[in-house]
Amino acid sequence: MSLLALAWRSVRGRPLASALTIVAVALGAALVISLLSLRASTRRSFLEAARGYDAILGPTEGSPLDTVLSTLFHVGESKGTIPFSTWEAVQKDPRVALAVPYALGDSFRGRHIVGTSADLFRALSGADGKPLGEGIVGALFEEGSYEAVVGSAAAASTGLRRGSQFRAAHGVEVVTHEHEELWTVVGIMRPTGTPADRAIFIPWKTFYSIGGHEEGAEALRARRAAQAGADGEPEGDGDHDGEHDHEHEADDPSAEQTLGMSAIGIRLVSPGLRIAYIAELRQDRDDVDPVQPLEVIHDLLQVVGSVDQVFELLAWAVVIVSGLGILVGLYNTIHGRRREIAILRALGARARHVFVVIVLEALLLVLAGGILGLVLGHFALAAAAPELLREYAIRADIAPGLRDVAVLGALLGLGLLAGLLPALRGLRTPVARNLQPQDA
Amino acid sequence: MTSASPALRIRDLRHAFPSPEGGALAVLDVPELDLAAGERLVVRGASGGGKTTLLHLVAGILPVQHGTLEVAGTSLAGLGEAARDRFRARHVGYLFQAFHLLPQLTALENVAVALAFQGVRPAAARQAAAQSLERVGLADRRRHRPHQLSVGQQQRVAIARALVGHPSLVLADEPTSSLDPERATEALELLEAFAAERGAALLTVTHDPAVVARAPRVYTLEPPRTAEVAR
Repeated sequence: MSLLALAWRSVRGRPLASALTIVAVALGAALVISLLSLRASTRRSFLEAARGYDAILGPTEGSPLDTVLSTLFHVGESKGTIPFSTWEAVQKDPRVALAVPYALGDSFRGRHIVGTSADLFRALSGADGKPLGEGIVGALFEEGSYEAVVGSAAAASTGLRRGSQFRAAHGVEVVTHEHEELWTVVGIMRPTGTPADRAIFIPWKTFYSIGGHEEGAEALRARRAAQAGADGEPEGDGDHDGEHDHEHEADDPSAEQTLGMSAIGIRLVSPGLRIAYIAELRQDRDDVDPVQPLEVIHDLLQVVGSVDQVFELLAWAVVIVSGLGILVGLYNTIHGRRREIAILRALGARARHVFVVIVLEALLLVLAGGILGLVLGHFALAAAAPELLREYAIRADIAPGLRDVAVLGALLGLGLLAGLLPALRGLRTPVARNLQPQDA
Repeated sequence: MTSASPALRIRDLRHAFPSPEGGALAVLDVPELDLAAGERLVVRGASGGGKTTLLHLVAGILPVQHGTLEVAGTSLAGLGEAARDRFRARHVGYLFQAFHLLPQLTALENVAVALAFQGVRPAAARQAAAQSLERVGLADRRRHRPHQLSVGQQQRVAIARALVGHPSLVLADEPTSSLDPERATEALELLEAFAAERGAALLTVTHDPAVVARAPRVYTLEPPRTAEVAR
């Protein structure tokens, strides 16, 4: 019979105390692995989503974070508009490979409606690395049509299917009214594991024909007419800002100077041009705010990171408290096990054998609790994964990996520490005195 | 240590414990005692007369304070605790008054555990333990835990454990005190026969006249000659 077997028998000999200790360790381990996996998954998903564009040109009214969240993550609302002249200038710039327009501010059953072009489906990729445009069930919308492409999570939550028709609501966080125009769903996107899954996409040019967006549409037509007239001067402009305060802006002369474009996503011919391009825009144009999405998300993660570090610390605190439970539990059992220890010593066990058996008991408790906790944690992640992907475009790491080995290693270290004090107490157990029958 | 070495050789062995009032309280004084290999000896004495202390000294559980104590040709005086532990594991079998079986272990494991500290591999230890249990008639009780065994069966498991390691010397502390007379006789017969088969000397301490009556040789512990023990 090995020392390990002897330790295991001792653990099994105290079923209730051992089970409670194992459950406590397991809960801590499950919390730790879930939080660590979620944090890593969130960071990866955010950074992957932010890699789509080299730059995003947003309105000067909002913050860079507003711009990135409203365009790439479909969270919040755009805080202003950028002038149509910027769109024209961007398209003419030879450094720009793709320019993706964003017209935001409407929604359907809580899902953001994004007025954009087909370029968005080439510029952005899913978590599998394939462009968003691949694997659409149905077709991409036609420019200038009343067709819509719906993200997989948006389709699931709104009930929209191919052929479904819907009316857009004015506003996102606060809906004021429903527009009259009827949109037809022509395509449902595959689950991409990106925030695009949560949005509904329509052609940006028709976006301006929505009731109340006419100013924008007219402005666009006027702009085109003016361009066709080759005088290069706009004959009329409109507006479509993120808030869709069109009724006020319709009477506002300054609205002619702005076409309701919420943002422009930029993919450059070479990522190496990014810094110079943004610096130049910042110097030359005061009507847009160019931002690097990766930089913004890095900053965001740093802020959020300090918060989830607190949660991680709390989870580790649970583990440490359960480790203290092992220490106290084992330490107290040593008093009741003086006879057992004395018998083992009388049978030839050296002091170090007793020490090792007690430490092994602590290690077995954390090992059992740790493995159970990791399994529980991964089950919890697996259960939450579909919701995380659907609602937050976060692909949770479900498969065990090095992170689990690290957590288990940390737990075993804790178990070793928790076993030391009881083991030292076991060492000091007087043998002869505890072999006396009256000590039973 | 050779095969010709006596199982036990004691000269002027004295032992004392710290007194509650300070100083030392002498509990054992053995001027001379020898036990040949394979021999049986019963040590008797008054309650509190140092019988158990003698066993603890011979087993190396207590350090020798004064005198000469050799077990199987090895002097225990001057040996450190770890060395005495190693020596005990290899050369001494111990039969406790209250059996002292470990409740969380099966009968087989209770016997095999005695070999764990000799460095015997688990499989070999289980095999030896099974043979030892078979010898004491408990082959069909190997998976039983102590609380599932009768008192007599527990005694037999304890005998199997004391002899599983082929010790030179078996120490039996009041081996019949928990048994009725009929069971006591059976247990003694089994212990004596098993020890003889293994060539082990048997030192029994008891105040049971029935045990004394069976003994080929009896040693009576006398009260210590002095309260002081020179260190």
